[in-house]
Amino acid sequence: MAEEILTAETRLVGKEAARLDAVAKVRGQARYADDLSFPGMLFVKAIRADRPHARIITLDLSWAERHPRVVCVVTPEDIPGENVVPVIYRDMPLLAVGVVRYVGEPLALIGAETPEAAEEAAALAQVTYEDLPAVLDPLEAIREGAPQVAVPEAAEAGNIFTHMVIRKGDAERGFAEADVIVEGEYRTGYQEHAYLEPQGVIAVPEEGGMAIYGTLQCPFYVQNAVAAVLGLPLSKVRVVPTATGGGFGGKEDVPSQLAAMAAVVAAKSGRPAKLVYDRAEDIISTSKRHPGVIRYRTGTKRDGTLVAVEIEFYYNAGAYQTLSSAVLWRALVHAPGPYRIPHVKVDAYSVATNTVPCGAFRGFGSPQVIFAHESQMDELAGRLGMDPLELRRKNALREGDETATGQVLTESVGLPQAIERAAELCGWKGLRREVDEFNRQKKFRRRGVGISTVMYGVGMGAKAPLLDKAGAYLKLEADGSVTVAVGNTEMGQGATTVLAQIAAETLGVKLSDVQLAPVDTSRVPDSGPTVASRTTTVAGAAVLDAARKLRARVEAAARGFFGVDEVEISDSQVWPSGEPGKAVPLSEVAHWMWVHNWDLGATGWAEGAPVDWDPDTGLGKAYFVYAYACHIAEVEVDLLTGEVHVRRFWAVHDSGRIVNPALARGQVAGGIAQGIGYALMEELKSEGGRIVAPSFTAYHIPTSMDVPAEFVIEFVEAPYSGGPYGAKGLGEVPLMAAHAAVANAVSQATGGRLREYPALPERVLELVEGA
Amino acid sequence: MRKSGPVEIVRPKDLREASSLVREGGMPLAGGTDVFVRVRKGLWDPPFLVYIGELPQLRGIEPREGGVEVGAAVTHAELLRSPLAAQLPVLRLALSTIGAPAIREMGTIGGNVANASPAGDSLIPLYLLEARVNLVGPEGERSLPMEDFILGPGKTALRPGEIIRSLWIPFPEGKPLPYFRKVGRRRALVIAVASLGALFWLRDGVVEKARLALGSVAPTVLRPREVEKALLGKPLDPGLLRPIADELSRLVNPISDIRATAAYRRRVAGNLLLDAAARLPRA
Amino acid sequence: MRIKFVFNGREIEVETHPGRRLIDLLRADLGLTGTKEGCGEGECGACTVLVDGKPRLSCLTAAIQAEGREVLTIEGLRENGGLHPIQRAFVETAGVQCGFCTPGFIMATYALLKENPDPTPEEVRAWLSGNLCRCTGYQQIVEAVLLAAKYLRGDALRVTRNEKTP
Repeated sequence: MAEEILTAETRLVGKEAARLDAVAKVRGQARYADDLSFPGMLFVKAIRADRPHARIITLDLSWAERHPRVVCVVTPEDIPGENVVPVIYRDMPLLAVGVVRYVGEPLALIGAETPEAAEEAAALAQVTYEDLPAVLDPLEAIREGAPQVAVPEAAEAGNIFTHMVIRKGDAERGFAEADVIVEGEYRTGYQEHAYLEPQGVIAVPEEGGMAIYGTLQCPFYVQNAVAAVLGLPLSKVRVVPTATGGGFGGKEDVPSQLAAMAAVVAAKSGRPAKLVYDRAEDIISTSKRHPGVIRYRTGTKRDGTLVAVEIEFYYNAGAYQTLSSAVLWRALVHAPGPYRIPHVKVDAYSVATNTVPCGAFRGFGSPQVIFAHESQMDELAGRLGMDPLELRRKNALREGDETATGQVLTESVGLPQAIERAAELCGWKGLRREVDEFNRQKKFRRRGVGISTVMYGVGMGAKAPLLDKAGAYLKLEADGSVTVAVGNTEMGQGATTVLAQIAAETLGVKLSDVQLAPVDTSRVPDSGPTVASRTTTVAGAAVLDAARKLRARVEAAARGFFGVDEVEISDSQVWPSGEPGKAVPLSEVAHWMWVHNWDLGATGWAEGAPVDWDPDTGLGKAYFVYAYACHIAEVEVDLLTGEVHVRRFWAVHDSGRIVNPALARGQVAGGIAQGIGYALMEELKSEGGRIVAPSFTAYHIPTSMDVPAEFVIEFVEAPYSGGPYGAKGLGEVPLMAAHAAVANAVSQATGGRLREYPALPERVLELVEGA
Repeated sequence: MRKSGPVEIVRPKDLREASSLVREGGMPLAGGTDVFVRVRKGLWDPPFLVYIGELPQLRGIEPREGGVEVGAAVTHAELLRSPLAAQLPVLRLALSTIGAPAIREMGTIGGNVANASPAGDSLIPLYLLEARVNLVGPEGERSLPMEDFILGPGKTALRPGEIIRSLWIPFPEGKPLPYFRKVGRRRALVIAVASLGALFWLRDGVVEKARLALGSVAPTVLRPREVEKALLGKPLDPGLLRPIADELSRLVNPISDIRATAAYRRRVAGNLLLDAAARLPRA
Repeated sequence: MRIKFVFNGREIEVETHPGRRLIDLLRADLGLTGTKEGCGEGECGACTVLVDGKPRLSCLTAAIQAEGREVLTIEGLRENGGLHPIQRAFVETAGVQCGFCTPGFIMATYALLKENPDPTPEEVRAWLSGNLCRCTGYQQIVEAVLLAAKYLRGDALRVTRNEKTP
């Protein structure tokens, strides 16, 4: 990216444009998965295992088949292609054969004329099992003699799906040099995405192939999965995302499973087939954040300089690999935190158990280890008698520093500025005094202030650089309006608006003249998955590339149109340079181009900057750039009940140039709320491998009363030369930072040390009474 | 497994017809906030539902005999808006924590009582105010005190064909200090993990009379009368009440469930008495 | 059975099964899908509609409970053919992200502002506590409600933006 673009005056980038999709959404006109219907459509219901680990002895569907409104029943033999849900590995069958490995695993499918009939028929299925020993805990699953859960071809050893390491410097020597060492074990549980729109897809047979409509993040993943189960070439499967009611990673790989199920029913019956989960089925059968057992040992010099960290952690991956190896890799790279540490040793394990497969969730494996590293920082500060902010300030990565994987950060490191700005906004020293004063006066209430600092590797990183690419196609219409086609989805994060701003800025047109084309894999370029906080950075760069090409062509045409050597374009007006009085609307030039047979389309392409990584040492350039954040939370704890309320919150982010501040603030506030939920209340209980009470009655996410009334959100913008107008990723970072600030605040208020999420009132009361 | 087929709903024209439909096995339906959820989940499987939510005989809020008579199908929101309820601050405190506004517009006082949940938020003030439950059935009308009406979790003294017609809530003497607090994982839309409601009559800075009612710490809402007596003559000073709070913790009989352990509920039951003392004025 | 009610300002009569949920009547029978089902058990508020001006969860309401009443859904909310001021405010404050909870929030807001035209931020938060949102953290939703209140009281001009809302 040229230097000038980072410093250029912008007309639209950096401005609070309204979302392109907002009007349809406030009118109730946006169409989500369950809002679509097709003539002759069937309703699909999966018959699911109710054993965590068992051999299937018989599967009798004869009663289900006799239901008068059942049109078709699908068993593994009916799958025309491969019986697989392809993600990174191919160990997960679409429908279980022989053995079931978790409660909720699909066995067969019903297609019926009404949703009620599909449910009734599914309840008539009779399955007999021979129970096998089940293992539900990752630490037990790696013991010798544990029941084998993992499909052997997908595992490195026994139930260890994946083991990854970082070996930097010499950890033993580092600890020998350390003056202060802290050590701790941290545990985290499931986190449920709780997107408000449950999973849903519709498969519609069409000439020679299959169309899929659904609520999803990664249309190209779904295309691949449906082609595999139907045995069709990719060209005969097209995927059209509907309006998507939240994703947060939960609609990254899971929609592939739903779409494949609906597709086999549609293929067998020849009729459209809709599969929409209710909340209970969604909670039981879809991915969640991996529970973790995390052990840290961290050493510093007496002055607080970090010298060594040794980390070992185990993530409960569930019964199949799905995305766990990728999740584990991000966790590995992020485990040491945004600090300069010469000696680093990390061992990361993902382990198979007889539980529902875990997967992608905002932060992608990093929040668990962030809880641990930020807790360690506060414990160190306590032992050193140092201000926890000062300890972070001292060790925070700066430009020119080396990360824990040995990557030298050559540009765009806004962490020090983020820390300074957050401290300034909350008035750190005064705030801590104020809290102390409050605590002296109150008998049954205590306040606490917590801080966290995080880094986030933008994009897929060195483990999957093949996915860090994006295509874009721009078309100037004959009336001067512009259509932008990319394959990234809008799930609420605002991507379409931001991409339109980049296109409009670069082309010199009004934002209202730009429209994003509805995504359809048969018509838009492959711009990779909508994950990893990569869309603004990578797809944005592809849009920028296409827009520059198209602009150059429009300028060339306009020079001919005006008969001059130089022209200018801005705000959908075109004029000869220096003669703004002669300006004509862009529509005139566009029409002129159309009449004179100019090519009005342009394609763009972008790839992430090169990365590399050595799996043996865990060293290398893990990501092409990092985003950073510093969060500060003030909580109040009721000492009589253990209830915690987050009173105030300050969040400062470096995500490079912010394209749309209003939308960016929304991302941050939403991530903070999810982080508050993760730290304080979100708990999914299971017994014997069954999730207990799979509903919003038992799984509590924050309400409007549970978030602070005072949120202060700011951005320090350290521009990234590889991103459009200097932008880096943002989406995942707020959640990653928020929970740890809350957890540290709870620990500070109670005088104890929170080592397990969530900090339910009960757990907090124990901290209070144990302190 | 979710109940899929819709359950039949019958709409009786008057109370008499409602009563005979209920006698036939129909389950009364008023606000639907609980009945619909349980029927859909297949937890309840009544042959049909009897919609009594709009029967005029169940709908009024009237002053009567030194108190207020509230029709069973009056919603929580209607009661909250009623000027008569303004004279019962502890009732308002409890009702305003039920669910969220839409739930309060739908759910009825009679439904909450019939549900007989130990976590029922409206039950706490009804126990504190010593309300009576007026029933109507095939054998005529009768009236029971709350404590005799509710027998256990989900269990009431309703006889076949009987319907709750109204609640009679007496105005307390004097101006007792009201307290209500519900403990949960979040600050709204939550079922109580433990709750305490209280009325304190103070004279010369000490408790002259006290009533306490606790939710979610026993099979029914609990009136710990020993503790109410032990409070007499004591100032509302949390520093002095620890032994009585501990006594309260010993008295309760909670269970462990998905929301909390018994030990936590026991601890918090006593602590809430200290919280009441800390929050209320001492004179 | 047939039921008669005023739907989005127009009296209608529909044939339905006694026991059908109001949400199914709206979405499947009447084909208006703006009302959303997020949980089916009254715990998320996405299905909020107004019945006689009061918020109700249409997933826990029987269709027959609409008999003789006025039902208002997101599709019935407009002003002079354009956006209702509440809708405008949600657009302008970016109080919308994925949008799935938005119709429920807007209907709940409508009921709030009828009852309390000048709510405090705390009152807004308390009133909306039955409507879950997983995207916004509620900040910009609260801002939207306060802005809508201003619009409806007539003491604010439309916020000017760099780009006009479409």
